[in-house]
Amino acid sequence: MIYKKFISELYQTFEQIDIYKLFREFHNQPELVAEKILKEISGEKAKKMFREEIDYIIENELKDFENILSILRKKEEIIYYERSIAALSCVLVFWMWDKKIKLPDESLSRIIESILLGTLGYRIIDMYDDSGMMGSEVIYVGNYLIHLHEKIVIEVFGAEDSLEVVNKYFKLYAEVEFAEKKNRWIGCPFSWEDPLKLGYKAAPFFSIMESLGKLNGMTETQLKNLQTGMTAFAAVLQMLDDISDAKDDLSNGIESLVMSGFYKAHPRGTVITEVLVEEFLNQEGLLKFYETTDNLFSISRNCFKENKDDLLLLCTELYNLNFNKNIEVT
Amino acid sequence: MKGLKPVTLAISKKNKSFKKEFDKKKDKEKIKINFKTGPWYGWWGF
Repeated sequence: MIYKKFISELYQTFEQIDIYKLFREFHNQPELVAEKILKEISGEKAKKMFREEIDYIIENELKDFENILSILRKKEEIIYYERSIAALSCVLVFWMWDKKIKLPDESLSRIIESILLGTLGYRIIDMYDDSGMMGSEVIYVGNYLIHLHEKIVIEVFGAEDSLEVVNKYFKLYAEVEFAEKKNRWIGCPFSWEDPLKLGYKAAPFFSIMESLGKLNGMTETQLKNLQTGMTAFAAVLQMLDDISDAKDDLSNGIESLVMSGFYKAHPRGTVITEVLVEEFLNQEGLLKFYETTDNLFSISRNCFKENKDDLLLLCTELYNLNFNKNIEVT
Repeated sequence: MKGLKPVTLAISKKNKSFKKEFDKKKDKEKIKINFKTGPWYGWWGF
């Protein structure tokens, strides 16, 4: 596999980088350090190699779906996801390096393959569901990719250790997606009191992290912290995604938490415009959004601190910094 | 990779001071969120 070579290069790079030295070189501007690290770990190269890896997998393992996957992969939404999986995988490899989790290269390579297949599978189903642009046949492609993703996780970690974990996280994912779709055009099924649930949309990815944690000998408390920390982090991403996509989601019958109450004020049939969305997001709504997101950052931060997980803590702080850069109080 | 902790600490300080400033101003001044600067998913901290 093409990616296998890249992973070992990544490990070598991690060994060599002195992040504190970089931090000083860039006059204590952490965002520039992050940019530099991304360059050092060859983020662009990772993205290119990922695309080539997907080509290889499709050609060798998904021949029957080659045509439809080729059409789907030309869509902007899929290209974007393929690129972000590459960055996510770099973080995962980095995390394993930091935690000294030893896995044979072949297994690590397969785990990354499973992330790739799973993300693509979930995204295809999501796109079918939300955009209505594709035929129902794509559901079977998406389901098959998800099945392959789970098969790989179970093969790599063993059924005894991973079957329950895979099932646990799939259930969380299915519950929130079910609630969201059941409430289409009705209202938001999530509440400001329990925003963590938003993070369950990314739950299938957690099965890999938890299986790796188990392999690393993490205690039950550490595994719980890992799960809660990741869920809170994923909930932040979901909140940000929801506020960015508010108009499109509402036009599609999805009232996200940040827009909860919108359909009561503007029933179905209302032409949803940017102006309407911005009017709805008044000062009170924006404050609630900020405070909820900030609280999710705190949950994530506390869990990773308790676990002494320096890398995930750094990711949380960097993301928090990036978030703050987009908030103005004038 | 060396130096994760001091860098994390430095960023954490920046975040804390932002929050402090935000809390001071939030009730008196207008909040603006540049939520169109996404896509957010592409940026995982690294």
